Amino acid sequence: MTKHSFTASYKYQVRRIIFMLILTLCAALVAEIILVAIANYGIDGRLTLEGIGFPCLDALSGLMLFIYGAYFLAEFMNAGAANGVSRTTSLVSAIASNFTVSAALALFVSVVSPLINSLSDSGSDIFLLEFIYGEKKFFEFYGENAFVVRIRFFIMCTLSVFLCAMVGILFAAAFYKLSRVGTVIFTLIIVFVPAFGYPMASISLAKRGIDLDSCMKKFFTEVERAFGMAHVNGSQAGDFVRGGFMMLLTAVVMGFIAWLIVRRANAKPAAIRGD
Amino acid sequence: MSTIEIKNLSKSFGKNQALSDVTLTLKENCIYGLLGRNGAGKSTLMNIINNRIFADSGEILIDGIPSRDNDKALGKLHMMGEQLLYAPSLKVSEMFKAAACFYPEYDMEYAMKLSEEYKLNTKAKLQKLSTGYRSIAKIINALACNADVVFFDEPVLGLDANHRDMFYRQAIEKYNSRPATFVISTHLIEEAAGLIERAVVIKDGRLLLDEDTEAIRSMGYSVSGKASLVDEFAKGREVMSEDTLGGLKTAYIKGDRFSENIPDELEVQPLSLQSLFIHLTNS
Amino acid sequence: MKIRKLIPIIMCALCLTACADIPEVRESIPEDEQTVIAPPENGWTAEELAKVSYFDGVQLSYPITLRSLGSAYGVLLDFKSSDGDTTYSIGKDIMSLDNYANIRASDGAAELSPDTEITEFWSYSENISVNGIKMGADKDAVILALGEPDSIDDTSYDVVSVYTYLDRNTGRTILEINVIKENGCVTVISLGDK
Repeated sequence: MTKHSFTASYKYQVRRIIFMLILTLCAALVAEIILVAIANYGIDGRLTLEGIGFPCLDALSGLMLFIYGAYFLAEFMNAGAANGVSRTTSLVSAIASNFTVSAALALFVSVVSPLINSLSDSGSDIFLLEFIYGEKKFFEFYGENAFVVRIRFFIMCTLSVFLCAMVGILFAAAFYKLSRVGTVIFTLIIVFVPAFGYPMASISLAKRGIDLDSCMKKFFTEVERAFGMAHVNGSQAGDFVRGGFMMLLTAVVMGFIAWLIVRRANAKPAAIRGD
Repeated sequence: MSTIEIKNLSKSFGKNQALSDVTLTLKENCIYGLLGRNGAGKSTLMNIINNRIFADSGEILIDGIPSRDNDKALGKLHMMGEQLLYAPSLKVSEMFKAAACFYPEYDMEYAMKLSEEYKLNTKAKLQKLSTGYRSIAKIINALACNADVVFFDEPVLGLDANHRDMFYRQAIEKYNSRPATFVISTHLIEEAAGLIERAVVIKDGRLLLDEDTEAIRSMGYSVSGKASLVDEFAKGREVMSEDTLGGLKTAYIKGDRFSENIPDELEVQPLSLQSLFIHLTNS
Repeated sequence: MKIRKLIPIIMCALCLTACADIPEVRESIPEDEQTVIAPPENGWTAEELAKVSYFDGVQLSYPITLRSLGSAYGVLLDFKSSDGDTTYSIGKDIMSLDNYANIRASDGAAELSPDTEITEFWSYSENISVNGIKMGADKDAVILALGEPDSIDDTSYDVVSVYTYLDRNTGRTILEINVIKENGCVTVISLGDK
């Protein structure tokens, strides 16, 4: 990896993601405004924005970055291969560009969501992260500086959205490497194991006296504890340092696995109809 | 300016041995013709050099640096491949801008000038272009990037005669104005013969020939005339192939015609690059 | 200093500021270790009652404040009642209303703060215990653990009787227990100082 190749990849990737993201977000905002106005008009004949709110915009952002992280990886790998850039550089810059966009998105969420919610009395300014790590108003209630509380949520929002992007990247890396048959098998496993495999395993193990549900519940409780989530913490306050560290660690592990998968992957161009 | 050393390169796709122990050096500032029949391994070789696929064994050094996953080495190369590696939804101008990010010496002005000459709509999306114009877009991108080594894999695919002529002319102009190594893989050998300085012939995944085109032209000749006279002359010589038409015969013979004592009754012709290629790869 | 070099420093500083004090959580004491004493002969004081009262295993203090509970509780809901007072529902988990308590703040408090004295503290869950008495306890057990109430109101409500305990010094109501008339089981425990 050279400074030039990394920078070039990174710039190209950020431009590609951010444009799509801005488009999507603007579309979502405009749609929300129009739908609320229409709904209010339908209810009481007034075109108002009462009830408008964008709670859990951080969750939506995480979902978007999951999709975009997955959607763009193949393109970034291929663009790198087309321009003398190694797989490692393409992947590392993809991770960096996704992190940058996550931070930008978290900033957008932190600023825009409260602004939109303030358009209406009934709008609520609450992120999904607040359900997990405690509400902003809870920390302010106990005397924490409002600026510090918001910075902390911005950081956690960035990390959680970035983690979602990394999950998308990991999936995309697997699909990039796998053959057509492998891709089909992988997809079937993802779809059918939770839907059928788990219930079948649960029933089968129950006959042998093993309660799979309670094992899984214990497992997920431990995961929640590892991520410092509030409701296993005995308080409305989650453990941010632990949560942030675990998110970063998980992202790094995913990035490493993705690198192992793509480092020797053949460039797979997108199909063009008619070719 | 860069030299590429290919050492003992092998690659198989399942049971198909695409490349077998290929060793080759691509010198700087030279126009190479990479020739071979369909499935010979030309595209495989170019893709491996450009890090698009990975060899099973062997090594590639660019200016002495191993090229595998090495940006310092790979940054000196650009490949215009048959397949489109950019997002199909990208516009032509966006593709140029993207390449300009990666290649510091990218000449955007030159790219736009060529686009005008070819009447290429730079605002069109790549997926909306015809096969020919997609090739043109990739050609322009390759010529404008000013990389040390540029690979063209079937550059004239889908191009009409006028555009093919334009490409050959522009490639020479580019080469003269900014010497680099061009490696052109093409099936239209006679058309490209005037462009190629050195020919590399791949047959069944192995390197068959790596010679200057001048030297190649003196590698064989044809003699035509009465069948009996031709047969007489051909005795004891390495005949690559023969064509018979009634009482007349043409024999394609390996060797330097200038060192032979050829009877006046026989007509002697130098072998074209294409003819020699056909005979070499047929035998 | 160039902006590019400043940015990582600013980011680190922001991260450090964000790892500020997080409200502490008090340890919850297991049921078998919670203090249970014989009821005083002349009745309880608010302080004595607080020492044998627990919510989510945390010993209450007098006066009761949110901070004294360990700063683990946030306000989930608030609603103004017809008499003008505001009732707050507090809990640890904003995703669930399973274990919560309702509180009213001291008279005159404009807004609830972590240090506002709570005048009423009541719960419908098993998480509250007073001298070993929890939701579902029998009325005889109530009398055994807490002594005879200062008054029993059988008439105000059809379904429940309200056992009231007063502070022996101030005469203020410090404990109200609702007992279902039909089966004699405790249904609501309300601590306070009003």
